[in-house]
Amino acid sequence: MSSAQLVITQQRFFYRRQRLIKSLILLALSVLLVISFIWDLSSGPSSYGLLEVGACLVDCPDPKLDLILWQIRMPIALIAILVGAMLACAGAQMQTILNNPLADPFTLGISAAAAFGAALTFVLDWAVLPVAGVYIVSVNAFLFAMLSALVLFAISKMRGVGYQTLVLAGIALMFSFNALLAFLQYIASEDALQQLVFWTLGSLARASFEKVMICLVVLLSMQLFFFRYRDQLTALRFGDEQARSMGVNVDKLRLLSLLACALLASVAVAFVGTIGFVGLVAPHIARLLLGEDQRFFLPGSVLVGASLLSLASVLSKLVISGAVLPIGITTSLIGIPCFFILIFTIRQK
Amino acid sequence: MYLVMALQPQSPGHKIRALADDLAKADRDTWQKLTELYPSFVNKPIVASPSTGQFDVEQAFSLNADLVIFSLNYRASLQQSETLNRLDALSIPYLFVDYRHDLSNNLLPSMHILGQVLGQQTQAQKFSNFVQKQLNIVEQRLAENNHKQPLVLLERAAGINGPVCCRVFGQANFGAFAETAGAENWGSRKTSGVSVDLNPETLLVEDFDVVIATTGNWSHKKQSISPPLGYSAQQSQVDSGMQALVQRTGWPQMPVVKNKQVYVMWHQFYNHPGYFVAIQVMAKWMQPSLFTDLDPQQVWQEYHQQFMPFKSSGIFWSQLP
Repeated sequence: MSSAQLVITQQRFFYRRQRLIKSLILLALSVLLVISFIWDLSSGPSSYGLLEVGACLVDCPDPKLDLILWQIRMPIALIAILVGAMLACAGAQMQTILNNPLADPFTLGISAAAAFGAALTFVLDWAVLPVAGVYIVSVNAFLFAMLSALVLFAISKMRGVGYQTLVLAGIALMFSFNALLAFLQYIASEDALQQLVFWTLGSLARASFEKVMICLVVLLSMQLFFFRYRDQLTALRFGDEQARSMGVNVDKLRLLSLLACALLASVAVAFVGTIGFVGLVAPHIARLLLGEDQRFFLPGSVLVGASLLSLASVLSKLVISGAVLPIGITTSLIGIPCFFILIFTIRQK
Repeated sequence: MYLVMALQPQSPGHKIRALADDLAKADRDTWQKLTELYPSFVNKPIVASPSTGQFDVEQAFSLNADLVIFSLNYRASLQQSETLNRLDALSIPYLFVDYRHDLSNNLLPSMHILGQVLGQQTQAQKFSNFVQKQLNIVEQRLAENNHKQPLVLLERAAGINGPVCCRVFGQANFGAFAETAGAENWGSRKTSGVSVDLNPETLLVEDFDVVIATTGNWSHKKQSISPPLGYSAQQSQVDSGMQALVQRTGWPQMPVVKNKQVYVMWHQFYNHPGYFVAIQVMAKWMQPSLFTDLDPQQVWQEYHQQFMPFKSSGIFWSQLP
């Protein structure tokens, strides 16, 4: 065997080993997600054990447990996973297309816009679509989040606007909407202010199977979209010039991805309130574990995000029995230690 | 303003140069009644927005205010925002009264001080006697008779955000009212603060004897499903609103709903000098046999005759039909 062939064989071996390790990491993350989902389903103020809950999933003799499991715990556990996945996916791809480690639905103003939309309903009783009934807050939040994304979209379509400008525009949007939000808080009545604070801290209690289905559809379709463009998105990380030379239509890809991210983040935020942190940190955790290759990075981000929010949901129920802490608080409490542990262990290696 | 109205019901605007915006925002029913009778209130300048801790010192100065009256719970934020220092610098005196943090201990002293300020000492004394007498009825009977403390769930502002369940009162405020009325408040076990978010599963796990939800006229809020209690409430609306509340997830299966031990109470009692009527109503709900002769409706009407500029109307509490 010539030395060149040897190198190639070695590289192939190395590549296959890498791929195997990464696949195993993904598998481990999936197991973690399943465990946390089951934990979420089996924890609550009532004293049902894991086995009883497991049995009830198949066939439920106890009508009370049936009600608790299917009407109360299941929608919350599912929406935790879906929203975690959606926010992580949006954050991951924003970081990819904008080539900026700090990009996420929060830093680019989408969450701030959603909060402003919600505040319009709480404080001024104003709705974009007054027919939406009890969904009025969600609809308002969603429309404003999409509006902010469309503004970003319009800016990025201008000639000569690079992704750096886009990030700056996003940050400008965030500050604008935060200022408008602060103004509404300033004129709000005490009750309205309470509602607004409660909303911005995030709550999974608003979950329903309807919302779960909507989230599922949005998440799956956007996943398909990103999966289709996985190689081009990976190429984007090498820089625009490099990607162009590989035949990627950089501008079109960036625009479409931006819209996809906005849709994911808007739906998630509209249903459960502004849960920060997942969108920023889940992709970083996935990147530390799996690297930049979209085939691993994207599912990794999604799994990490889903697990984080699912664990946060468990924690929010455990702290005060019978009560729930706002999910926005527990998400940060769970996520920050995970993040730090990873940063330091990987550095030591 | 509730306190001022109680002290000078014939001329509530007397000596009042400017107002805060909270009455108009938080209790539209009372504000409407008041401004119908005394349209001059609409034109009084707004100097403060308590929910955000804002106070316009410059305006207070230009209005030549002799005294500024604040609610005690805003003291910290007023100190932080330098408002108090500025008032000191301009030699505008200020006074703190408490009508919401610890009503049972602070309301009557606050009323007496305010009575002196407004020159309504007799009315303040009359108010104090009235409240004391009404509260004594409840306290004495509960003390004299052995009674089981029913476990009560107190939902805060039920339905204001649509069918989401629930924020629950802790030890403060309505929690304290319920305990005075002879109940054990579930939320008091969980937090010493005003409220906590309930895990809806708890509805099916805990064996509540009574559920009381505070609501108000939030019909201007499009997502609200609350029964619109207040001066303009009608029984049919309140009934259908209550039916909507007990249709929320998990509620139809609660024994307490089947037994119709579900009640609604006017939310605004939480900072109202007439709060003792709420305590009487709750006491009657908790221990019906002890208070058969007590008629809170009558007391509430009497309170309006003596301490409010207008008569009582509408509905302020109700039972699940």
